[in-house]
Amino acid sequence: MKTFMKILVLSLLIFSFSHGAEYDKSLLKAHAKLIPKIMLLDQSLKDKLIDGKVKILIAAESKDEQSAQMIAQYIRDIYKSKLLKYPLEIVFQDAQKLDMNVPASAVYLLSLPKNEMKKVLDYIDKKGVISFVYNLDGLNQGALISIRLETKTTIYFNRSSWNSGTIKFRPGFFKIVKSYE
Amino acid sequence: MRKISIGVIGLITLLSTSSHILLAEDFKEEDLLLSLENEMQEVEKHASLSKQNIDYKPYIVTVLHHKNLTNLGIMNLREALKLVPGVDISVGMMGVTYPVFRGSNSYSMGQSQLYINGIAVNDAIFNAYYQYLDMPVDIIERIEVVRGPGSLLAHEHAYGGSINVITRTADPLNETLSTNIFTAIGENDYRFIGAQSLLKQGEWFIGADVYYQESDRHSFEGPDMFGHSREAYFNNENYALSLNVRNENWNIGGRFTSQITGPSYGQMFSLSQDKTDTLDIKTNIFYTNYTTSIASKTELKISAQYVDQHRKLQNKTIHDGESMMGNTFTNGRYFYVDYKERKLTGFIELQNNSFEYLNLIAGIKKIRTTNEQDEASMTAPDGMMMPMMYKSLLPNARYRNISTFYGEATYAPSEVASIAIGFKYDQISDHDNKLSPRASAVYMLNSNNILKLMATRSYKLPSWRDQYFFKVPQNESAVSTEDVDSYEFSYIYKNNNDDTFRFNVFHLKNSNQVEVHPVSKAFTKIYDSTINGAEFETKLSLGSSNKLSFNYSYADGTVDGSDDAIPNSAKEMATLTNVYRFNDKITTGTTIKYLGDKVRDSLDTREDLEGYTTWDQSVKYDNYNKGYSISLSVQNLLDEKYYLPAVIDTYVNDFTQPGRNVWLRFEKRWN
Repeated sequence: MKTFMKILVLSLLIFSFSHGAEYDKSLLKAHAKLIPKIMLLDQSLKDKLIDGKVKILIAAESKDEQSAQMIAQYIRDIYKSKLLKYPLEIVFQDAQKLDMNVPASAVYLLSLPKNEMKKVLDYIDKKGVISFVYNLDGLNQGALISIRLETKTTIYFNRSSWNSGTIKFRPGFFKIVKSYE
Repeated sequence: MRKISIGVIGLITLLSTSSHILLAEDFKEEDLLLSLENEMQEVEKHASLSKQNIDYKPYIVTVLHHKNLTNLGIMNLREALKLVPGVDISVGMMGVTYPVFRGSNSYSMGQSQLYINGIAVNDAIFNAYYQYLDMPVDIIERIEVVRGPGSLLAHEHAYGGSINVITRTADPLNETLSTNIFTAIGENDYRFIGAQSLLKQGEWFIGADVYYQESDRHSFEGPDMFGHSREAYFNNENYALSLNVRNENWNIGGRFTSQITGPSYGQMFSLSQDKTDTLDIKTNIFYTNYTTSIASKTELKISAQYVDQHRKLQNKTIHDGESMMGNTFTNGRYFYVDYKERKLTGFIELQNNSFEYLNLIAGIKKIRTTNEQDEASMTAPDGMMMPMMYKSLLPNARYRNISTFYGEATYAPSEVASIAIGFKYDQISDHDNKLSPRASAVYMLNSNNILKLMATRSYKLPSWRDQYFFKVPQNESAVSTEDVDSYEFSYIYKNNNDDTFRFNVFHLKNSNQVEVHPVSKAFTKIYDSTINGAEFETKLSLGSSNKLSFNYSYADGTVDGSDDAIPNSAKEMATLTNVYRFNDKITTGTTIKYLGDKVRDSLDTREDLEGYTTWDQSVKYDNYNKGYSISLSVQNLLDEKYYLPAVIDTYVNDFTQPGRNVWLRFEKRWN
């Protein structure tokens, strides 16, 4: 056990500087299926079109580009790059290099360091669009929606981050979501 | 209602094709909502299949995924199982290895069940599945390991635990069409090459995998029971081929596996003189499953499965010129076995959830296992012309029939609570009928905290070797089923999708444990035991996205009616893994594993076996865009000397395990 403890301490020292999230492929796929359908429940989606297109920004760190591209591809495959009549565009955005002028209809956030998360959420706030976040604890930082696979599929909704002026959910939406306190 | 349905169908069609003409605002709210709810249900089904929502199910499960395993430099199923809390590996005759769960009877091979894509593959002769443990992780999508007697498959039961391996090409959730080739080289002349492919033809997915691997490890061992110390050969040649064809309802496939291994520590506690000795196991699996909806909210599953095994052994058990019982063997004595068995399984299962809050499963299953051939022979001593022949080593093990009726009711009155009650009733041709009941409850305190309680009674049938080998019929009842009463509690804290903390406590009451009798060497019901234990598992995010995984398990097992600890089982085990990503291409994986001391049998005068710690390290370069990866793995980096225990009065010393090992692996993908 002593040897184990020595190696454990050594490895913790090494890894305390390490980075790199591993994303669950099946959870990304589930998010890819549900996010566009939730967007359709926003009655003001039309106001968020970018050049007539629905544009979803996947905000992530550069080292997570592979996972960002994976969920982007899942959405394209499932929806054949169209959401009803609207052409659907999904783009990866390096959170560190986020330009406040980049337009988006909605934003999906992978795991981000606090400062970058704040930067992206400020951007979302400014744009008045829906934010979806991979991890539930992203709601604590101000994101609007996160989806978890519990006994049932649960859509968590962070009411305190909801800008009802720009996001007009249909009333039935509130019957299927769970409020996140 | 009909209007809504038409609207939803229209919406679904529009969402899944590119010829859209309507805007979202043209649809009724009910249609949009219903479409979303349907999708949520579909996601739930997939989550159940992929075990994504396993923390909310009444089992204690570890799911190991392909990507994480390759990032950690894990090469095969055997190594992957070592990552699971409370799972150790034990070794028997001819170097046959098998997992031991939660410090249970380390002499018993069938403590756990192995399923490959849901097909039970343990054999009847040993209750073992050794030949599959070298299965490379390159063809594995995920490994679902249940600790304790619960099973994720309603029609199956387990004893110490169960392992379900889902291969990448047979995974019902895999719709990513790709072709991969993979190859590896390593120390001990290790060579590996394989390929897999998933294609789509109309509604059908066609998947295939094939691999070949060989190695030539040897080490100096002994003294054995006859006083010999010499080189033991662990050469291994393993290859397999599988095909799986599926659509939404049907699944048809097969797998052929061949495993040819060297004499290792020998068959009869004797290190072989002959390097060409082999244990050669060939198995075939064929299956077809059909699932369909037969009424509203009622699903029917039908399955037919066939598994056969052909086992051949050649082992030199007496050295040249040595004598036994007054007979001299100038050219040594060879022991040969030629054994075949066949198992047919069929089941029909109905699942109904038409009652609010209630999900019902009921099914019947039939298994027939037949002993097709069990011939054995030994070469004759000097002066005798004919070898000794045995037409049957297991004369009373001609067949075993099991008829099962099973059912399960899950009542979930809210999203936060569920209660399940299930049972399995087995009629067994060569044992008393057995009832295996199970009750469980899951309660979510809130979105972060989950509690589970599980109580299960289950059993393990003795293998044909344990029950029939070297026994006259009247003594066969000396070996009955091994029974377990299990009580488990689990607390789970989920901070987000990645950070999880799990704490499990268990109490196992094992009866009729079978072991080789220290004097007669026959398999006998020796003791009852009680095991109390706890497991702690966590996945942590350190910093912004750094992930660390750690588990620790403690199992305190004692033989009932004495103070003796269960022999050859480690009380403590711990594992730390970390995947460190420098950037989107370079990853390093670290695995540090600790196994505690193992006490000996009460009659064994040797010192207890000391615990050990190993450190495995790997580095992987993965170019996602160009579709290839290269990885370098070093196992047992610190070259720690460690041993697996040898049974009392067999080998003087324990079995040396491999030292530092280096492997280089390459994979190329085409999507």
